[in-house]
Formats: sequence, C-alpha cells, structure tokens
Amino acid sequence: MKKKFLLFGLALPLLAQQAFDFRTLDRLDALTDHKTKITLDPDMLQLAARFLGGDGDKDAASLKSMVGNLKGVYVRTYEFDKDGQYTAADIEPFRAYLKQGQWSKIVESQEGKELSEVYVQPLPGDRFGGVAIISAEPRELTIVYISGVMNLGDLEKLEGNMGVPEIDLKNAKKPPAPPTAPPPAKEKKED
Amino acid sequence: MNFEDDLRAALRREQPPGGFAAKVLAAAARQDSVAAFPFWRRPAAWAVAAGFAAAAILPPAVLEYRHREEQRALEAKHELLSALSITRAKLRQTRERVHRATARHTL
Repeated sequence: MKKKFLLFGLALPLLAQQAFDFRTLDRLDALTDHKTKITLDPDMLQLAARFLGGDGDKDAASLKSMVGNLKGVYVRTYEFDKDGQYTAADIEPFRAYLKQGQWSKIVESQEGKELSEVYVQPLPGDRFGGVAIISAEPRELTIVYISGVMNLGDLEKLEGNMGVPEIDLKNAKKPPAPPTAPPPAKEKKED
Repeated sequence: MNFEDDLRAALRREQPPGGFAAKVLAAAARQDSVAAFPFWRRPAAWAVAAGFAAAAILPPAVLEYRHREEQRALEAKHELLSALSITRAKLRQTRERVHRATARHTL
C-alpha cells in the first residue's frame, strides 16, 4: 500500500504539468510559408480514433488503442529558405518546459549543424507520460510533442508502420511551381 | 268562458328574467368571435403546424450535423496520421544518426 502511495506521489507532479504553450513558437510562422502545424487535443483525438481500426485491420486497431490513451498530439514543422532564420533561442522555451516537467533526454545526436533530441517523461512501471522530439537542421525545424500514457511497445509502434501511410510532407506542402519558371533546385536532406 | 280565460292567461305578457338581454347579447358576441377567429390562429392549429415543421426540419438538421461531425473526424484522422508520420520519420532519422555516429566511433 505504501509503495502505491509512493508511486502515486512520484507520478503526481508529472500528471499535473500543464501542456506546453505552442504559441511561443508562433514567431516562426512569419518566417516561412512552408510549415505544418498539427494540434490534436483529447476531443480531436477521440474523434480521429472513431475512424481508426473499423475494418478489421490489426495495425489500425492497435493504433486506435494507443491513441485512446493520448491526451494531446502537437507537431510543428518549419522549412526555411535560408540558413539561420531561426535560432536556438526559439527552441529554448520548449526545452525549458521539458526540463521543468522532469522529462528525460534519452537520445541526443548531433551531426554537424543537424541536431536530434528525443525526450520521454518516465512514469512508474515502464511507462511514459509522453514523448517529445526536437529535430533542428539549418533550414528545417521540427518539434513533436505527444502527451499521454504509453509503454515501450507504443514507442516502437510510433517508429514502425502501424498502418500509417508515408506522407511526403515536403512535396505535399510545397505550392506548385509557376509554369514558366524552372523548378527550384531542391536540396534533398537525405541522411 | 274558461277556455278564453286559460288562453288569455297563457298569452299574457311576462317580464323576462333579470339579465336576459345581456345573456343574449353575450351569446351572440361569442358566436361572432368564433366565426371571426380563423383556424390558423387557434393554438391547436399552431401546435400541429409546429409538429409538422419539426418533423420536416429536424431530420435534415440531424443529418447535416452528423455529416459535419464525420468531416471533422476525417480531418482529425488525417491530421493524426500526418503527425504520426512525421514522428516516425524523425524517430527513424534520429536512429540513423545515432547508428552513423556509433559506426564512426567504432571505426
């Protein structure tokens, strides 16, 4: 019984943390037209889950069960035309929020000017209160914040296919090139 | 002679009971007002009309609401799949970077 109280006590501050205010990133909106902003609160997630896994697809059913535990999914992707249009200070509020909420940085990888950070919010019993990703390249910045109780299997699911189609976001979000101008030489950021 | 007296008594003038004239006038006014009140101004007619209107309007409104909810749900699903797709791409990218870094370190 004491152990349960202790675990509850440890989990309480994590559960009580307010969601990150993504408006702090709004400054970046003005810097580029190539951006993806996805905000799914619990209501929207419930709504989306209604249309998942209805046709006997195992992956989709598994995805639905995971989505059922989520409290919020927030994604911000910005593509810039020039290097240095955003600075480390733009990401700092998000990092500070993760520190304050006792998130653990499980991966930090830097290759030249490209940086990846993956955070999880540990909970008792091999579970997580969420996952957050910061991916910063000279001309691209991505922030992913998924809040909700997950286990290791769910994290693997996130990296796997799970019936989620590959979406070519770079091309999907680009406006069509004018017919007279030659197509811009796009530097493909393949790793 | 008796017969004449009886007849006279039967046909003699009598005063009407008190308020007779007022009652007659009131009854006549009532009949006039019923005739002047068209059926569409009666509460029962309104209730029936409201029932028909509700029966005609509600099903399309419900269908419209359901349709809009379905659209919202499909949009939410699309956004969720996009979000998960980006998450997956970034997790894979991170894993590849770590692998490359590890390989470089090993060499």
